[in-house]
Amino acid sequence: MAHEEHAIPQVPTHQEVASDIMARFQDVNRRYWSWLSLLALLFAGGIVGFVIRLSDGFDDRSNWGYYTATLSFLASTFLAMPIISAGLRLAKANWRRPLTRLTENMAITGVLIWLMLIPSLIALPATEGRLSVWFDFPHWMAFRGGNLMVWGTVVLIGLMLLWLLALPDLAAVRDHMPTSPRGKIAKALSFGWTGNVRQWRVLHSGALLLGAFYLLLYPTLQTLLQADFQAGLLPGMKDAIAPVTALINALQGAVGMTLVVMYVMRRFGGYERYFGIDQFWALSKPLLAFSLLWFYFWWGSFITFWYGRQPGETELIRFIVLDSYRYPLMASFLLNFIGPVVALIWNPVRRSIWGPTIVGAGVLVGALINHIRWYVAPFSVPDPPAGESWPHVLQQIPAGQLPEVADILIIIGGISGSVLLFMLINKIIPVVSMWEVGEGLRLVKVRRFLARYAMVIAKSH
Amino acid sequence: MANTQLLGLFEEPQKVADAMGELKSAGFPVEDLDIYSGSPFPEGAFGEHEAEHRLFMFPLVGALIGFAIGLLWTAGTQISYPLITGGKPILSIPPMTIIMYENTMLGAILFTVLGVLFESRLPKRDLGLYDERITEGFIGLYVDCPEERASAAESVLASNGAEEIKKA
Repeated sequence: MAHEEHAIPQVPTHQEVASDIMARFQDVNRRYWSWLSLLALLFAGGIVGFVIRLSDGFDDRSNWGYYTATLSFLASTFLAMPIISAGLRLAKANWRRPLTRLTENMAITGVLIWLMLIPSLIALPATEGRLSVWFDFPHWMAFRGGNLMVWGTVVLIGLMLLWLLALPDLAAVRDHMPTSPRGKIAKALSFGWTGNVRQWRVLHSGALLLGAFYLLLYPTLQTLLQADFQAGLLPGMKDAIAPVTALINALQGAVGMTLVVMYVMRRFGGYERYFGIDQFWALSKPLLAFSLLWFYFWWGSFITFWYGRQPGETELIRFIVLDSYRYPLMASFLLNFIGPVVALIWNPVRRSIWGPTIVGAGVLVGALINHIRWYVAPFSVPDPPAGESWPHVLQQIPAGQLPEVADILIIIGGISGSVLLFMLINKIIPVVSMWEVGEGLRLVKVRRFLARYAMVIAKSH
Repeated sequence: MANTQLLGLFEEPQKVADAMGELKSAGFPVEDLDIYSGSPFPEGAFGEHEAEHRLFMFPLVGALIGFAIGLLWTAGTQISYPLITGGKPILSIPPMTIIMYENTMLGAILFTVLGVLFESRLPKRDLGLYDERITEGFIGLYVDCPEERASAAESVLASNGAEEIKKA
């Protein structure tokens, strides 16, 4: 990569990077505590909203629509972020090094997301008499137990991936903060890591394996989310590509969230030398691709319903596309497709820090609105009369459901709780991987190339 | 006779490679030499012994065990309580595959984590001959040799520019 200003690019040493990251890691300043307090307050508000919903019980499922939409949004953004780390590591993308830990640290939010899953599962009706991927499987064994297991395993892989890849940095914290409480936690978690040749080799292989497992199991989570919390509740919903659509949208959300978090860490955390133009520019490309795919998959689903013209299909289109949830769809269409594509096709926008960040923030807002459309709508469909099977056509189209105060508290609280966990884990495990950045620096050499200097990156294997 | 362990701490990777080469030339078996570092170097960069591991067997075994448990669990429960619905077969394959797949993955994951710990020889309560500067970017060249050869190893480490040599 040639340098624009013809200056000699400076490549820091591993020692410089390690001491810089450790200094930022050790710094727990007033601003950090202020943000932590604010997030804790908002999270407490979310718990109040949850208690309000709990006091209303589970008989009226529509009360849990926004809650499930929040759950789905969190699972499709925060919990999807380790995929970025796993995918880029498998692809051996060198620019990934400063941002992989950030995405892996997000796996901690899986604990909250898994706990949030339980009430949503309780709110679901039994599978008897309705279409479901579980057929007539006994219900506890199936959609409740099955979902808890699949989601739990995804969370477990994320946490294991985070822990294993953090072992060398936990050892660094152990070595440099031996007497502090954080140092003691790091000592316990580092398991006596010393960094010999064998350990590095095994770590490399283990990271690739666990990353691949995350990539293999996360789509199952999205499939169950879509099948149990949306398709199974919407009469007439028969969309073969819906799980893939959900997965693509989750990847778009994960990239958007990564961009926004990188910007925040850069702007407020002092990590500007790690989250630079290379990372923003490189991530803007998959963001553009996922934005195009957003439309492709949405259109692919829509057109089969449109031309199908069966009663179940036309009623469903009226419900979630043309009538009740028209405005959320339009907002999502703008923020997840039109906006990103129009903005990111321009080189100056794509090749900047602010451009992908603004687009990423828009994508997240659009994703939240789209998840509301996807999950509030099915949760507002009433159960059939007792003893009757679920119909194949919507009997009456429910009106669009606006959020109540409890719903707003839950949305804000859920997001705040996830960010809170992320901020807490950042003070146990450094948010930038010292060893991975250090490894990458060794592969970079500055060489004279004709009239300018170039940074040459070697392949490590 | 008891062995002696030495750890030479270097700031420059090139010096480690040179010391490693000299130790091998002096007859120290490559299996008794090891490199400690705060971040990995490309395999074989120092001419070190490339330790074999069998990590890839662990997820395979775990996946097989997980699959077997998933199959027994789903098929076993349905066969134990046979409820024929609408004349359909007792075993409902599509939902069984979800649970079996999940169990397969769970087994593979748990065994992978166990495999990483086992193959890395972790957890270790005692770090042994180690130095905190390794996680700062220093590189440790570890030598395990008979006591009578310790001074020869030490002189190789020192002549190649070790910042400090620790002994145990």
